[in-house]
Amino acid sequence: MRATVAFNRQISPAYLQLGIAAPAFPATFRAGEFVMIRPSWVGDPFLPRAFSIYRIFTRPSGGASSAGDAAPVVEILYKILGRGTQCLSRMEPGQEIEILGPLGNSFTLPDDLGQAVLVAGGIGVPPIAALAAQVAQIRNSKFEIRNLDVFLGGKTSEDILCLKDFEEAGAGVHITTEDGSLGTRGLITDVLRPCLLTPHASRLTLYACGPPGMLAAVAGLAEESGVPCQASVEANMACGFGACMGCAVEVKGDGKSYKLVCKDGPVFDSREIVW
Amino acid sequence: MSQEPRAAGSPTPNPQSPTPVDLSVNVAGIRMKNPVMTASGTFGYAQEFEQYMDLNRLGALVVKTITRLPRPGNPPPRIVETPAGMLNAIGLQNVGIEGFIREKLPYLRRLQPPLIVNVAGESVEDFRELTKRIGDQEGVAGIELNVSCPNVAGGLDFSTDPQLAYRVVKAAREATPLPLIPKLSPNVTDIVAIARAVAEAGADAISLINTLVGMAVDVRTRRPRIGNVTGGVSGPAIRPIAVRMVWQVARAVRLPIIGMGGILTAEDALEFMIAGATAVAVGTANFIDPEAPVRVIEGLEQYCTANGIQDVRQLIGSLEIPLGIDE
Ligand SMILES: Cc1cc2nc3c(=O)[nH]c(=O)nc-3n(C[C@H](O)[C@H](O)[C@H](O)COP(=O)(O)O)c2cc1C
Ligand code: FES
Repeated sequence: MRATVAFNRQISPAYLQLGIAAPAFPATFRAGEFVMIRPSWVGDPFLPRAFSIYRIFTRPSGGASSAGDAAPVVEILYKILGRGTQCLSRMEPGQEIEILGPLGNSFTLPDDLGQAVLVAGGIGVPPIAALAAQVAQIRNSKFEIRNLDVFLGGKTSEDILCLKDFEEAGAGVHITTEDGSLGTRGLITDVLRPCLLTPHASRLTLYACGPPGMLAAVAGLAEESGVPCQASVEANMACGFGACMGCAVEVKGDGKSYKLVCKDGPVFDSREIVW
Repeated sequence: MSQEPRAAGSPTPNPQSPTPVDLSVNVAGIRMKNPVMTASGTFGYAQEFEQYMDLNRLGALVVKTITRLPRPGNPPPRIVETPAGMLNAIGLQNVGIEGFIREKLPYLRRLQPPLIVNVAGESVEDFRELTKRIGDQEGVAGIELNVSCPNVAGGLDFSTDPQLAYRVVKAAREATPLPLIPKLSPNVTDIVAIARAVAEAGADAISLINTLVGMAVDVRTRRPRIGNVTGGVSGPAIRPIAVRMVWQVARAVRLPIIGMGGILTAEDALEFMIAGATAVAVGTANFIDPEAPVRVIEGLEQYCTANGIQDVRQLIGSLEIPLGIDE
């Protein structure tokens, strides 16, 4: 659907935050859902890009507002990694942009959830921040969820994002960086491991999003400690809605079998996937 | 996602125009209310698109290739963007013919546009069987024979050798009276020789073109960018090649041609029709804009209105080559 750039700003040296005012977009979403985004002209880069939804807010339509002011603003976070994101980083407020979504499935919170442990690596953080907000919201109504912990990992301190969101959600935050510039020096799994192997790790569910190596390691830990883990995975995508069959991920089953990340995912039970 | 109120299927009359444009075409007995169809493998089984567009506006529907047995498809990554297009090696992932008949056909049958089922076999006998089984189903208007998928190992490519292509079409011909539309590969030196062979074997129309075999390398890892190493290139990058092949075949063979390859807009579709295509298929464009086929249909109508063309068929093969040009 046709939309316009509301803002596009740097939030740290390597990361940007894009807001898209999309009149026809729903005002709510579920953590894990994503959108396909491309400039409104067709050219280079050619394919739309997939981004997890970080937040959606509806601007109050105040006094001298034009009609577009009340449109939901869909926010994403991104890092300049290739030509697609480079092109995105040059877009300015008011420019037209195409957005399709919300797409895909979402994280689920089991009714008897006791403790939610969220894990995000680098630019995997937006759906995790969205989930933290969602958990905080229902924590008020469902007293069940005793604990909310977040493990954030990155190469350096620059890769640690959304700290304020996690604070607001009342989460215990654990940070690791590979160079030790913030939090514990090392890998996310180094600090996650002891937490999962404690005796009170029952009714605990892991929620993870991040680079493939990290996800595989977290999935391995989950398996080891018998903890369920929902992982949001990535794949090259052309369409985002199940038409091209390009976004396959291998799942366990008889012989080779695949699922589509855009339609069956992006969130999967980590035990289902061949890592 | 702007949707028109469902004037289900009725040809959209243009209130401004005194003489409405006739967009209908006839491809080997398949009556289409406009010349725009979907390219196999880029439109799923149509249901994926129902929330984005009115499927009944399409001239015809072509669905993803069906094989005899279900196929899991190729290992990822299966796609990657390339300049003005993409490279894919999906590997014909599909539910198999019985799964298709059970799970997909009932939905497709309820739609108004004529349904063209695309099939691929691993042998001449496969093609015969598939054509027979599909031909026996209710609600199928035609069969596209995918003799040209570049992404499956084991010699599935029957369209680089005129004799093999002939045998496949001949076997299918014996199995069904339905319109047969072989879809040819552009990965050949002489497309006309292949087109002549399938025409002689009894084809009713020809689809041109499938993807061009290509490859992309990640220079950081020194690995191929897709799991299958090579794949098929599609999108605007291949359009000039597709238009050229349509033109060559249209001059040599008296069969209707369905032209495709990088069509994003009505202007792109017009190139194909002027070069000799009776109908066109929108492929990769569906991924970047699920409403692309509708935009092409609307653009065709606008073009005809603006140029005083009352019947879109006037455009077919209307290419003018200036005198004195040595073709
Ligand atoms: C992802 C993808 C999957 C495709 N799958 C099939 C297929 O299953 N059967 C087939 O005959 N052609 C298949 N094609 C080829 C298209 O139908 C079409 O011939 C080709 O892509 C050129 O048109 P385009 O540039 O408009 O996409 C596929 C193309 C793409 C991009
Ligand atoms: S991205 Fe096209 S099917 Fe998933």
